[in-house]
Amino acid sequence: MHGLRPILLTVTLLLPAFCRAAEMCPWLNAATAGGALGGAVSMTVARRDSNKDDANCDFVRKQGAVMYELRIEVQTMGEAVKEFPSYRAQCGSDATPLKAIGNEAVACSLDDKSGYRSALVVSRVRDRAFVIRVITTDSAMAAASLSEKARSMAEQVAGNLF
Amino acid sequence: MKTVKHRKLVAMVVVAGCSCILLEPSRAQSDISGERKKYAEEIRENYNFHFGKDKISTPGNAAIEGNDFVQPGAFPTAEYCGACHQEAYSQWRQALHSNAFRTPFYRASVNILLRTKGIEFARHCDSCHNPIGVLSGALTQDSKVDRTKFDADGLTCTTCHSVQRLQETAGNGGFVLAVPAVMVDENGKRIPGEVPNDEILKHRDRHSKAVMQSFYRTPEFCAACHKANLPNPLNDYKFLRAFTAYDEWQNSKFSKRNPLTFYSGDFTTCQGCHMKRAPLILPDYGAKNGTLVSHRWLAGNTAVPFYYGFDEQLKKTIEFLQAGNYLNVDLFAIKKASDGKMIAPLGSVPFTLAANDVVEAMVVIQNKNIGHSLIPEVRDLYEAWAEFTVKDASGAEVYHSGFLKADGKLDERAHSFTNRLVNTDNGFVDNHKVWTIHSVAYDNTVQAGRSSLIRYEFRIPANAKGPLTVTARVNYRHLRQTYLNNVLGENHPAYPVIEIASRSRTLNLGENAVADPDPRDNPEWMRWNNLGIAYLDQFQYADAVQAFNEVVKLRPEYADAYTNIALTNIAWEKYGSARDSLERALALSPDDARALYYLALLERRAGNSDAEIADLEAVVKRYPQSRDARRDLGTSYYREHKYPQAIEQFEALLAIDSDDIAAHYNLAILYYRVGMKEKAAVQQALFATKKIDPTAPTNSLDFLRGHPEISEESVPWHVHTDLAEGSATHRDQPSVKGMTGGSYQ
Repeated sequence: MHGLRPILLTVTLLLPAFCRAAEMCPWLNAATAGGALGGAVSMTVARRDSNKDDANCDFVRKQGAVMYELRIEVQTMGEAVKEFPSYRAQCGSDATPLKAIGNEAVACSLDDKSGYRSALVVSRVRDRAFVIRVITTDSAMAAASLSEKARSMAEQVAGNLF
Repeated sequence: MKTVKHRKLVAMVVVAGCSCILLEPSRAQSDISGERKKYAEEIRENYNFHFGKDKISTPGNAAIEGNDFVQPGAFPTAEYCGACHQEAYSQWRQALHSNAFRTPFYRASVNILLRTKGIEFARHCDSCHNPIGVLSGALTQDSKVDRTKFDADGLTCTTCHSVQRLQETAGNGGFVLAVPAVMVDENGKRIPGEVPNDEILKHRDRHSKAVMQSFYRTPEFCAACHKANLPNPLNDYKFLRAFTAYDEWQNSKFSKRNPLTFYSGDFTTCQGCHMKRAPLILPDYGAKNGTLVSHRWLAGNTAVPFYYGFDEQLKKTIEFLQAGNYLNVDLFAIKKASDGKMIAPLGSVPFTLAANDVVEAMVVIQNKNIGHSLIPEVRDLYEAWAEFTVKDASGAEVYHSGFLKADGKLDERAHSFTNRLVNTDNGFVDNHKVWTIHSVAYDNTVQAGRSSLIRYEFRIPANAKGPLTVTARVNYRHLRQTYLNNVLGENHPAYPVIEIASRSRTLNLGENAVADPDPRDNPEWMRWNNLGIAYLDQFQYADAVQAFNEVVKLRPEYADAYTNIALTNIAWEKYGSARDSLERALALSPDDARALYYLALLERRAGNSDAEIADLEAVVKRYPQSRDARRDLGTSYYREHKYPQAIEQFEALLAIDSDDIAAHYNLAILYYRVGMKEKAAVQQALFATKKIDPTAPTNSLDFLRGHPEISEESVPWHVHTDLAEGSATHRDQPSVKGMTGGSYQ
């Protein structure tokens, strides 16, 4: 029984995190994320303490050593005009403007040295900023395909934010 | 051993608590029917059947053969169709149909519905805006359906081109789809799913059989979605009509089904205006003689192409709005407050004006060639209004009504062709929350073929430099600024304001001679006729009769002029005068169905039942789809205890308009009397839910009391002015006796 205590303690401590994971993502269902990432996904949802209406969702699909991930961050801004540029800055100066994905959408691609490739869309709907990030270690995936996935998911998220 | 068991238990708890490994999205399969069965079973396990077992689309009406869910992948994509139909695809991609769901102007409203009442209620809207979403079972809590397959395409090719039949013309998605097929086999059996293009090109006739139906060319096809109601399951209140562009068309001159229109015209369907043939730009196997029926469905929506940057669609939409002879703007008359005499029609009579004159201008807006109302459908969001300006020779503004304020909102006092929907809290129904509607405070739309009279009063300043330029125009914006702000936030770019029609006149300070008409002007008799129609709709019967009498003077051979006088007198309860006029109309045109219809009403009042029925039978024979004639003939038979004949008429009426409450009411009684008690009960229930709530106007009155800035718009007769009350020496009043408020010069 002594041996069980650490396990139960661990379960107890982890349960809140897992319960969060069982929560629905308000911006996108897992099937849609799975469609974009190419298969079944695991999902975690985290609410912000500052605003329970905001939520970050993370969808992950693993296929052997290859990983595909969709991260959605949504945050309500106090003053969109002042705060949104800091979100947009995540795309750097060479971001491409995107039409019709909320207001002021920009897209960009980021590759890091450890083999992770990302496509980002940053936008807002009224006073809510959102950042869509599609990340993969799949070197075979074309950059255009990765960008299109990010755009498509951003359109889904924007639609639910309106 | 215990430890192993406990570990298993813990693992199970974690997995159960997590529930985050989800089903793989369904794929389109060649064996679609087997796949569909499996798919539907999976969907049914968790589907929210809030509205009843097997009701997959309630409170909407979208239906599919087999009445079960269908996998989204069963619908071939638009890109697939676009391989052979490049022109149609490129047009569709920019059109409203393809963007019916994803547009923020739709999502903002429907998102409120699903957040406040639940996603299952959104099936009402999405039956038309996203039918694949509804029929695939995506509109339920914790949906496992991959939405990328259909959200972005709204009404894709294979939704419309899979419709097999239509339900009654109740709208809200009143169609029945089959599982999509782009080919039939040699026996005419549909082959579901995508087929290689080569195969289609080898058997184009079999492709046509799969994707085309003759009824696609009818207005009833459009009615499946361009007619909407708010059923009890949606609003938990009662059935309310929402919009009904189809019925408006059916009542217009373009349908040739209504004998009671003021003017006649050539038969034109919805498709005749909104799907005109145009030369090809891109290759398309559907083309005939190098042309293709437009899949842009040009109409009034400038907001969606503006938002998406579809410049070609926006340009063509603006051209469409400004192209046809849809509206006529007539600066018809002025009255000087000093004597109250009507100077009319402007251009045809000389007059004088001077500084300090207080002038009332009478502007007649005719809905001349639109096959539905100005403005149709979602008129709580669309914005059409009259703008009226008076400027002097130096450009100084003397008067301006209908301007946009600095914040982009329309001045509240503008004459707007809108309605004001009132909710359960006696407030304005904002954000298109149609499920909260309880009443309509007013509705200033102009029905097809009718006219609206708008009055403006201004004082010519003492220092005004003549001549004055007076301009009236009808502007249109998609959408109302407050809604644009709600959807996009207040710092959005200005959305287009389109001038649909306008007319200017120059008024000299001093003598004004007779002037040549503008080529766009209506002939003089029609100008008077439109004034009469406008007066009639404002319940100013004496003025209407006077105006129609001017038509008689100009066109004594025009039978409708007499009928117009008669129908005005009937509304005014001057039945003797009405009969005289109808007899003159029928003397000129003995079989005139319009005159016969109104004569029948007089015969009924006089107790001449045989003549009443004979007249109405003659009208129905010539206009079998006249709802008015059917309704009245049914009533006539009923009064004569001819129940089977009466039932036949009311059943025919319901086939024309499934929401006609007179038909429901009378059929409830008639069925009961002939012993058909079950059918009677059905009609009784339909009448009970569709009849007007007698308490609803109270909501409207409370709303208007709280909004004095717009309450005057609810009064049919009103004047727009910036002058202080009482500053005009002779403000005209509506006639209450036999003569007009002014006099005709």
